Amino acid sequence: MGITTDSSSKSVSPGSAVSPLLRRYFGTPGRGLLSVLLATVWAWAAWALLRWAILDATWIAEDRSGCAPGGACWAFVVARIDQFLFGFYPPDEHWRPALILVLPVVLFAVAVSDRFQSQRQMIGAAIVLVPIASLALLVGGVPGMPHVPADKWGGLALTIVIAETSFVASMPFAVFLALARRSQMPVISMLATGFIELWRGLPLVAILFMAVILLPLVLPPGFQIGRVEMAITALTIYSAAYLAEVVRGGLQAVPVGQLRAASALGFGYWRTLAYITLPQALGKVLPGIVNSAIALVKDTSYVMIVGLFDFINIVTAALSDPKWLGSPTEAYLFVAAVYWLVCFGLSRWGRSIEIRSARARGVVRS
Amino acid sequence: MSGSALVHVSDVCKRYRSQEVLTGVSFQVARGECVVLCGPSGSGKSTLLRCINGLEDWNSGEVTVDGVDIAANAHRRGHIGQLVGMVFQDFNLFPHLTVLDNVALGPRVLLKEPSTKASAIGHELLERVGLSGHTHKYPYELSGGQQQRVAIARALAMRPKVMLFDEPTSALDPEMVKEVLDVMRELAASGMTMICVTHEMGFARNVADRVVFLTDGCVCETGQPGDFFSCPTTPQAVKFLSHVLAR
Ligand SMILES: Nc1ncnc2c1ncn2[C@@H]1O[C@H](COP(=O)(O)OP(=O)(O)OP(=O)(O)O)[C@@H](O)[C@H]1O
Ligand SMILES: [Mg+2]
Repeated sequence: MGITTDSSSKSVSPGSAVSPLLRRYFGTPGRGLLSVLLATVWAWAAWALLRWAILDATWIAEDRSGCAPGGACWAFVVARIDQFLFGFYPPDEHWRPALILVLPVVLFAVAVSDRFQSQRQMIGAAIVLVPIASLALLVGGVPGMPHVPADKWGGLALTIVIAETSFVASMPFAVFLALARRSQMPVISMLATGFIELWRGLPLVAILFMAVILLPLVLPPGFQIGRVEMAITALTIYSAAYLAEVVRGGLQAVPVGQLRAASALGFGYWRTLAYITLPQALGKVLPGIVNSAIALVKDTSYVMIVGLFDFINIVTAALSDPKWLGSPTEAYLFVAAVYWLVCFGLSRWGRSIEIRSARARGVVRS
Repeated sequence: MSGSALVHVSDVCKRYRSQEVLTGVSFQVARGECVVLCGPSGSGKSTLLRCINGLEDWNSGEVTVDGVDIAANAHRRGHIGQLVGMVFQDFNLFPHLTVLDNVALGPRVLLKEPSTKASAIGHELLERVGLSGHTHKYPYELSGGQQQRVAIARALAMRPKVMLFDEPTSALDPEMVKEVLDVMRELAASGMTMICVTHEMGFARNVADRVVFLTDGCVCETGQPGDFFSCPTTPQAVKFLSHVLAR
């Protein structure tokens, strides 16, 4: 085997940056052959993909028959993009769901940029305000923003609103559950444990089915819960049950000495929580929180069970349009790409918080 | 009892399940007095300190500080925090806050000082413990001795009437012990009332006004440091001193 020896890699000739690389891929004849082979396969695949997705693709067409057979038929996505993003929202009011899509992007940009790091409280407030504002934008009912009934909502805007609202609502709920589970009082602890285990043990699909089928039977006649409220409530509870365990892990990782020190200084239970325990606990489990947020974004796709036209469901519904019958590949690729971008953004956001706090505490030096 | 005593501990008994940890501890600390509390490991020194600031409850007996009944007020942490300050063996600084914020958090949140005033208090106290150059560092960036001095500043920021020290130098490397003891010495000289659990017999001899010797959960002997070290009266104290001074 061609293992690079120490002495050769320590050579200080000007070309030394290149030569270890060359040696790694072409050090022996076998290695060289493999490298060439793999590079060829890669290049071929990339070229094929490029031709299909861009060069031979059709971007504008009247219907499926207008698409060139060899390439991707993005025309379907282009023709339906309004619906995919904004649902059945009245076209005159499209600026509202558009703003709903822009708000989190702006928040993300502000949160990860170095410029606004002194504004942590402002960012924290924005995280709470964005979902509320988005929901208000969607509902309307004030001068300049006529009310739009829930059956017109849909698409990516609805998915984002449901995800944001559920996450922001589930976070304090999760903290409350985690604290209750750690309570000294057995009744409270048992209630919290039971609640968490119940909702964590049920598939989200089952919860949503129960909400649709059982709730109307239990509720007094004439009393109705909207589908969106139903979906947000179910996702909030479901996500809170998971997050509670993440938060509990963080609380457990705060040493008792911290609590003693806070108590000795004069911090009572709630102030210790707010200034000492929670900042440390949440910081420790940030990767787990981001993980739950990403899971929640993807779990919103189950709201189709209560009959909502979220991002995926509206694309699926559009595929049955006789004008566009045919392969659904492009539409689902588009959906996958958008979901991936959203989740990747969340992941980057979490990472940037981690790096920053690690840098502040000197674990990572930049 | 003498009217000038700030801390009264009378007949405090404490059990952990069946184990008697404190079996009737009584002593007083006068205003401005520096008392060293010593005794063999497991004699209940830490437990006693935790009782004095209400971190621990006990079974019978009474503790008052400046006339305030600690048992009755133990749940009012904000009240007790301004009465009794405590410094721990393992510092327990808040790792997510800078050194300055560690000190300024109490004044800002508990004493309701405006944040500029709280920072000013922090700067002043950090200068007093010789750390004015380290205000914006995080605790992990400091040596053990420096961290313990921050912990002292943090406790002082609440302007307590009495300071409790639970083996403040036991977790430190020998070369850092002195800087912490110097701060404590300066504090005692400034008239602070102090109760120090420590195995630093040099400190006890030179700084303390009185030594209280604890064994098996009660005060076994108490006296001026000079008397206690030169002619201990109880066999337990003789044995303890022979162990400690032999080190
Ligand atoms: N939380 C607890 N639960 C049960 N027993 C305890 C607890 N804390 C302390 N004890 C017991 O109480 C006794 C006194 O402990 P304490 O920590 O007060 O001793 P100490 O004098 O401070 O000893 P050291 O010099 O080793 O610090 C010990 O026997 C210890 O085992
Ligand atoms: Mg102890």
